[in-house]
Amino acid sequence: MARFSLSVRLALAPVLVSGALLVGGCSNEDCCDMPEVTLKQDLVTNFADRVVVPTYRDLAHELTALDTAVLLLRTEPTAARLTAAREAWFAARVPWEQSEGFLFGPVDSFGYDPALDSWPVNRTDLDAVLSSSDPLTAEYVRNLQETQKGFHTVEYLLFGEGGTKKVEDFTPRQFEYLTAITTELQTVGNALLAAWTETTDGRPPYRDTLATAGQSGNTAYPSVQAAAQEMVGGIINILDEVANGKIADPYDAKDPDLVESQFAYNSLSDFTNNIRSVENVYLGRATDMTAQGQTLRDVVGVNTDLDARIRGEISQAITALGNIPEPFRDAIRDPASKDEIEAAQEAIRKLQDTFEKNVLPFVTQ
Amino acid sequence: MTLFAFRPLSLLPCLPLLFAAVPAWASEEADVAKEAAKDEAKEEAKRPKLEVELGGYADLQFAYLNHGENQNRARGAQRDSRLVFDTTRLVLELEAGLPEYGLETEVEVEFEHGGTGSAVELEYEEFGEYEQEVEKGGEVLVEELYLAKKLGRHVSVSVGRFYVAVGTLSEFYRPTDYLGTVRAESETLVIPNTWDEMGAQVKWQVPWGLRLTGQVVNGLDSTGFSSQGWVVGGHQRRFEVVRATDLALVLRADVTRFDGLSFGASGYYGDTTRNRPKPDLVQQCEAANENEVAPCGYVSAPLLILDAHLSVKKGPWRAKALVLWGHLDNAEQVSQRNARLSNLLGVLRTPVSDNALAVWGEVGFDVAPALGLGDAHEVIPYVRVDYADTQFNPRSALFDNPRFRRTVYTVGAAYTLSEVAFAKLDFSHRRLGSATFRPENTLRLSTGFSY
Repeated sequence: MARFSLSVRLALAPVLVSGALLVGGCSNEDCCDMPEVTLKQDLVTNFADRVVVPTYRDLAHELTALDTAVLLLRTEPTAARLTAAREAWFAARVPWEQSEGFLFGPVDSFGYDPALDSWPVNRTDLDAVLSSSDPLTAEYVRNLQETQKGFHTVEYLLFGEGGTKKVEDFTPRQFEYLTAITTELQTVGNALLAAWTETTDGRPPYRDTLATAGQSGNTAYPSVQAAAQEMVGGIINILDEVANGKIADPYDAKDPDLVESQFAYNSLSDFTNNIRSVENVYLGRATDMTAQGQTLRDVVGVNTDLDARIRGEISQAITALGNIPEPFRDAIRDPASKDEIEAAQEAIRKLQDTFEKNVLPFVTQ
Repeated sequence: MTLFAFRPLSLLPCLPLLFAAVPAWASEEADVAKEAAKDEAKEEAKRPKLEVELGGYADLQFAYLNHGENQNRARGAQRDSRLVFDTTRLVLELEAGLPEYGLETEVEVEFEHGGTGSAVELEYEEFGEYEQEVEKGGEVLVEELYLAKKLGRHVSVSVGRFYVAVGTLSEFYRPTDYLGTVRAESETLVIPNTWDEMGAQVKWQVPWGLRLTGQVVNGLDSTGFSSQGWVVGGHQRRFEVVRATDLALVLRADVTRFDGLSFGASGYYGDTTRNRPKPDLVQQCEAANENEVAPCGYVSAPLLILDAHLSVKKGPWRAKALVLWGHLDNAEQVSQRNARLSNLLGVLRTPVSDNALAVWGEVGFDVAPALGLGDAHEVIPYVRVDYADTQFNPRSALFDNPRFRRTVYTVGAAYTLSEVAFAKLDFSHRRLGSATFRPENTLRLSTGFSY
């Protein structure tokens, strides 16, 4: 999500850049009996190679598939191809939302997050472009505001309100716009992957920057501890954002326009994948991967009480999200859903609290 | 308060004097002290007498708005009902001069929104982490700091930081200079608000009644250019040192011959690429010399701004007007490069238009005499109209978004006492460039002083 990343990141910056902290004055009982844990180099290497890069590779692949599906739909508009394009959109959302547990590095620094995932969709401006006769060149699309392109504009054009759009509702101009922005999405997805895996604009691959944390000459991460703080900070950020942003903003304002993925009714799936992202970082492996070397779970201690608690709270948060009636855009206005929504927020906040109070000290001691 | 009540405690500050009356223990020490005092007096006598003048102004704002803060919603800002209070600015001015040498200096320090403050705190509520606390939002700025030397009666040369002689706000920036509660929205949307830069300036007051101003100043930094604020964000304030590899030339001519009326025109021209924090907008070429930062030079993105302006303060009439147009060359290349800038630079990264336009005018009439008030009072009902388009006539590859066009109609009244204290009340109605967007209304009261 784009709207809070900077402010939340700034709020956490001190945590991410601080050196070793004295925890002698800690008020939390658990933290002071913490065992001394040595953070190993492969904690970050494993995280980069087995969580981040595979997730972004999957994202780039799914965005390419989405672009292809939309081009096919434009070439031959049929109900089957519309369904296939929508399925491709759903599939691309999974790796993106599962990458939001580590919204740092190039995705943040170079604005790939807002370029991919800004909302609410600016329908007024979108309609103005659709009704204009401006040629939709790559340059023109690149210059559009972030709320006129990206995942959610594609979603709006593909699904319409509540997925009611039929293939005959599409105009040639909408197809032209849709293909222009899926092409742009594919470009951004590839650029994001390349920023982690290749030298870009003279900058080394960010995978190397992270994996070589603590090695001489690494100014971004002068220690493994600094990189580990970034990892835990990323987890805390996304938990805060889901509970206190993605759910709270539309729920408090009772405003469906503020709901992420409201047209495809995919909001709760998005939130769940955000929690899966936290789980992936914690377990040190992306979905369909296996962990190698040290993981955050190893740092906490496999099968310790705290480890069991964290995994239990992840599971409870996912269950609590599943208890909210679909679609989320309607549930926020339904008094009958109040308890489920607030219970989900509570479960996610509880998990965030655990990471802040009990996991963060392991990487800042 | 009783004037002659005896309070023994009030003698406490006098104790040093009582001790001073005790004879010195060592006469030698006393002699040394006397000599030192004499030397000090001599040094003091050597220092020339400065003519010092203190001034300043303050502006407090109380506003009611009928719209939400987020103007980027689909149909513009949503309906809301908000009150916003702001310690808009406190400006302290110090002018000092050595008239016999024709030297002057002016210093102006501005406290915006009450100043600023931040601190790092050790937070034991959690586990003892360091937290960066923002204690106070705002800014403290040195807006003017220059030395001026008079060359004869009509010419002066200045070096330092001063206002760029473009638009109306370089000259009429005090709250008592303009009628509205706020500075003209259109002007501050397109160019920096009371735009100050560093460089050299020549002013020539031609006896016929013409004032000519020439300036060479540091140019803008194109990383800050954007859709919403055109070149405003190019004002270099983020770094400690101002980059001036690209300089800008400013020329301004004002006719001051007619009492109570001045009008004129100004032009600004300067490149913007080489003032970027990093050399990231360079020409690509084959045989690049690795010993050079930019072996084939930079992509040129010069900025041209032209304006015509008018000010009237004659009898009961008050008026201001401005037409300002600007053009940025190679705006597409600047936009493409800006889109890939780091978040950490804190710039908007939205595409910048090739052209921008700002037009505004206000007119008022002093009705204090008609109300039977004395010469110290001014009561001026006024109207103001602003028009700004930060995406005026853009290139074909940039969607001409009506969101970036706005017209603001303002009506209000300004009261001034002895040209020092003021209070203003006005109502503004803002319309964005398409009927789709909700209009925005603001009722604003401002008060403060100017001295």
